[in-house]
Amino acid sequence: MDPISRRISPTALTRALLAAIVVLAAAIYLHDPPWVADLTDGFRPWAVDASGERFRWTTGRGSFFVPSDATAMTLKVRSHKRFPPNPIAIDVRVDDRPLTVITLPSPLEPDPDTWVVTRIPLPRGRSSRRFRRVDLRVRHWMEGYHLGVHLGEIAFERP
Amino acid sequence: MIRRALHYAPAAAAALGLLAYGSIYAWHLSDRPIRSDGVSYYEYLPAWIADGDPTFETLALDCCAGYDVEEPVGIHRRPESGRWLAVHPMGVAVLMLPFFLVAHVLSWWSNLPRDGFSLYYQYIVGAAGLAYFVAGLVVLRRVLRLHFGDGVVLATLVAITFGTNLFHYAVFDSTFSHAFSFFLIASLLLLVEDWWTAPTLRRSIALGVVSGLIVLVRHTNGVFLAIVPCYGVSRWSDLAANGARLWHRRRLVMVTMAAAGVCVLPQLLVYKWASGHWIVNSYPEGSFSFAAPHLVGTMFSVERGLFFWSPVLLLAIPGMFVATGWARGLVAPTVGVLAIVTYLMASWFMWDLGAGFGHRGYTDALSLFAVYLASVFAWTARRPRLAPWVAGAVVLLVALSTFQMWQYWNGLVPMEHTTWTQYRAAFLRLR
Repeated sequence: MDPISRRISPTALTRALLAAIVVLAAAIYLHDPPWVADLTDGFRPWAVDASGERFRWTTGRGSFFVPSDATAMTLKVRSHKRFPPNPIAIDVRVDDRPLTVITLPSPLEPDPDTWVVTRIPLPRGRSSRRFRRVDLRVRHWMEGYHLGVHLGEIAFERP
Repeated sequence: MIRRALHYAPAAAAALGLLAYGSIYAWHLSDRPIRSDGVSYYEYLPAWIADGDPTFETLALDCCAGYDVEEPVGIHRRPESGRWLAVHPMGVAVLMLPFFLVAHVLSWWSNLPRDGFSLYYQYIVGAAGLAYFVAGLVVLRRVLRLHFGDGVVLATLVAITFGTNLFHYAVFDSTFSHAFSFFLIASLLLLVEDWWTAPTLRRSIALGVVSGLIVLVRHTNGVFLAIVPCYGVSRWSDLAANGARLWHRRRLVMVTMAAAGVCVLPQLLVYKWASGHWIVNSYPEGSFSFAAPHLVGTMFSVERGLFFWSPVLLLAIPGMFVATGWARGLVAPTVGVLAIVTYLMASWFMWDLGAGFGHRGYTDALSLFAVYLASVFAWTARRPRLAPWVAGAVVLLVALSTFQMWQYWNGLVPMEHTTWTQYRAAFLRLR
């Protein structure tokens, strides 16, 4: 028996091969998992306002996923609070690339309870994934407390 | 049969731990693994690696890591400098680093947010406490097997795991510091014996690193390092003999101290940068009141008393009297260390350490208790008439603690401020 065969037993080799297959299969699956469609991060639970509209409070950083074939998305945001500091900047990124900055209150919608609706064209992605990640960064502070903003239902446009 | 069971005991504990860990979040018994104190122990890693900002400014601005609060969690601005400082030291984060890196790479691979708090971070970093608990059991098994029979070691591991709050801090509050400290103090026990038996450069460095990490995880646990010079001391003359032996090997002692110093240095630099002082009380809510310690409450109260919630540990007290050999030589350092630890905890403004199952301040010290549980089990095993009674009592006490842990998970036992009336109302209740 040669020295290598003596060192690596058939059982160990089989185990290593099985482990490698499991790791590879998991890696392939996790590269584009289907469940991210419903995954959000950094938002408070859904709530309903007086007019029956659903919204979520953001925290300082929030993420959600959009289908990769979406050509545009429409975000509805509002500051809800009448207090300073204003304006509030919402930095929108897709797959870590800057997309746009939404400013609240909008000069056209000074009422903090009016939705500021922004249609954002989505550049064609180079990824083969089924979903793209959208990150929001919100800076809305008052006297050391972070307030966030209201984010309404998100709409996508697909070809 | 017993040898085989002991061989697989840590693996069985790991499997049970994974099952419990999965069940806790599948059944929504708790919202997420990185929470409460776990956030402040951990958030060095998101700040330093995910944000690339060790000042915590980005972490604070991105408030509040997705948590339902309106202020940054676990960090405070120091009034002297206006800089952020985490409430807890960085040792747990250092030990969590491998888990964080796996989560970080996986998040990149799956295109999930690489913010340190999204899905993979929560559950992979959350499993770190379970991993260190299992590693602690492996080390403790090795320590105990050097001095006790397989049956005694197996019984001790089961009693320590399920008769105390150790399993709880491995799976439920797994991002708190206690499972990490349990591993480190078990490692200290092993290394101290090795180092006194045959000191080498490698062992000296290892002892220094473990000592440094013990302090880095929880500063007050520096008390446990007294075991190193007091190892084997049972008379005053032993202490002088140990001093002479330490002087004889002073170069290795210096190596150990240097290794420990290197481990602790980053924390000191953070304190200096944030506050202008090398040592600070990073806990803004309170401090020690040494004149009025809650000694009885800490040990016996229904609120969080050590022996009330982990009664099997009472057996460690006679264990100290019947201990022989190596365990006998550890009695004095153990009693001394536990007395100081008890006094420190009882003097802390929050002597019950807030929400938790049992008194979590003692979870760190369970390896020491294990030595004397093993001693009493070994003593009992030599007395066939007594053995069934002690075994029966241990089984009942372990079952009671495990059941109460399950009650705690399911909200049947309050998370804090438990009263005798509440305890009686919940006693052995399934719903």
